[in-house]
Amino acid sequence: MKLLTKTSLIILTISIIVVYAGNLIFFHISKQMIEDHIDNELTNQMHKLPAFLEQSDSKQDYILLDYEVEKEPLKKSATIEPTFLDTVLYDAEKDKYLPYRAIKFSHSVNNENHKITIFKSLLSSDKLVKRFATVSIAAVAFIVLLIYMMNQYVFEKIWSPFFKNLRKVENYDIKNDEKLQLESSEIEEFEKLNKVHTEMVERIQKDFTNLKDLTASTSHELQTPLAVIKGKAELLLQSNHLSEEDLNTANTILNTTKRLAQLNQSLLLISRIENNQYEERVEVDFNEVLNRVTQNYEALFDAGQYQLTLDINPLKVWMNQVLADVLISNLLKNALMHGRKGGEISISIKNGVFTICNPGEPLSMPKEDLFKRFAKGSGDKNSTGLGLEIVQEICNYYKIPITYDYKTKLHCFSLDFNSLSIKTINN
Amino acid sequence: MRILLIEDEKELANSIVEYLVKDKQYNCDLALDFTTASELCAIYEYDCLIVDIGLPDGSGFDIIKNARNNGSKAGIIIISARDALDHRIDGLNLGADDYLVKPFHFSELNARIHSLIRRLKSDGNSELIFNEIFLDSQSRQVKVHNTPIEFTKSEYDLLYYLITNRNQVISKTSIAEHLVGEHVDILSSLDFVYLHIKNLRKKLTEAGCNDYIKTVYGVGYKFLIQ
Repeated sequence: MKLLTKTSLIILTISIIVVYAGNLIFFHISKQMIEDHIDNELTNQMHKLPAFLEQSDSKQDYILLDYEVEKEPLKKSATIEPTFLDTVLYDAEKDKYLPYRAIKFSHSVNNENHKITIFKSLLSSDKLVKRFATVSIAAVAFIVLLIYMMNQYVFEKIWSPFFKNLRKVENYDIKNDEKLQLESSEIEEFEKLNKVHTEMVERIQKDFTNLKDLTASTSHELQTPLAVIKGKAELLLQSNHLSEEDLNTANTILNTTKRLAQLNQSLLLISRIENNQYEERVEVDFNEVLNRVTQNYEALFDAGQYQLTLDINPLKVWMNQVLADVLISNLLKNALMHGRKGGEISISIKNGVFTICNPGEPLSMPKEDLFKRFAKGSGDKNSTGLGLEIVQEICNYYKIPITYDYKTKLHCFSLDFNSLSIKTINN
Repeated sequence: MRILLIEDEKELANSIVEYLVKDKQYNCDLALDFTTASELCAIYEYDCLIVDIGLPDGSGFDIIKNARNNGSKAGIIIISARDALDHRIDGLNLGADDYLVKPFHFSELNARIHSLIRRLKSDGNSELIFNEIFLDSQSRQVKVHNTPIEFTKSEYDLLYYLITNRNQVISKTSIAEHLVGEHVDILSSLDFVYLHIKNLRKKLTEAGCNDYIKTVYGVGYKFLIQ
């Protein structure tokens, strides 16, 4: 749940409870006050009544302004203490019972004892209370709305640097050698958060750079000892005194060292790409790249082990020459490595999309793992497992969308160069 | 032919020298540092310089620059652990002729030296003759007993590679690498080397050539010629 939603919900819930309770209390208090007021008035009338009664001798009930008075004879000896009561009286005009507040007491005049009840209609006061309640509810609802809107506004204002920074942290890529620039805020906690974030990122960045440098320099330093081992093994091969078995051992050492060196070089290449050492871009003609790359493998094609079919529309892209060669070379190598003997490898460029397909059995690993470092199928013990990783690395570097598909027994990789391609005007 | 190897890694340098002088094709001098290399360059006229870029007391680039400034016509091959393209281009721009990335096969270095020296020979003599085999590296023509043989590019390259490394055991990997390039390791099999050797052998023997190509089991081949 979003922070704003959560706070708004809490504020609304609290407001509703408070308003409900407040209104309830307000309603009761105002009702009480009105009742007290009516009781006072009734008492007042009770004191005024004897004088009034003495002036008149009518035996009828009296109507005193908006009071109704009921007079009943009472036994001489009986007295009634003044008592308040809530009651209803039938109203003929409205044909229903209406609420009344009344006071009853005994009164004796001219030796006649009477029970007198003075009624006061509660109709108007009830209405009053109801109106009060309505108005107060409306007022409070308005205030709640105001608070809600204020919250919204304050929230936007105060939290905006936080959200901006959140987006920045979210989009931050440790690989882009950039510093994390966070927006400063007046709020102490946010400032602290920024500080913690910036420091953490700097630390990670430092570690990352160190690690990158370590990889690069280690790989580089490894090349020379590997060259020594390889050289010695090669000299061993030339020895005339070695048995066949020993020659094989020397050969294995030679080949294994070669593989190690290859692995090492691939790692170096990856670290160089990651270190932005291939920034220079030129206009790269894919026809030329393909010619160069396929020529390298000519020995394979003319040994009849593979067939190559090309269907190329002109494509020129703006990228690094070396990376373009490495990219295509690695894709072709991958196709050669996994393609069946005598199988057909087809390369096409259409509408800026480069596609390379080779026939083969379905993948022995999940499709998602294909580009992972050191991901290898079951059969390829010689592979460094870095070829597609390099492809992926270059595609990431140029943001080239790459897709893999297995259809009708064909493994196909498609690279969409449209974002990099140089459109030529066809006359 | 006189070669100067400039390489600071002593073990590697010794191995290279050992390989190169084995067939008595070359005289090979060794300089383990920049100073020695500069002195040797000043004294002798070399046919070929093999230069490592990273030296303890200087840069191989400076040696190349100086050699070219002094009008040296030697073929220059850079050997470096750095594969970076700009390095390669820098070196070639300074006047180097070739670039090999460490670790390389000695047979590959040998072949490169060989073809470089052939190429640079001003007398235009690009012909190699071994017994009944005649090989012209300029026109890439091969004749056996004066009969021309049609070779594919790969077959010609293979023959040239075998001949320049004659009497040495050449591993299959090294041949594959020579034919396909350094990233040969990814291939699941080196059968294509066998196929090319088979074709080459067939074409040569059909033309009446002795079968000089000996198989060294499990390892590779040897072009045995006296």
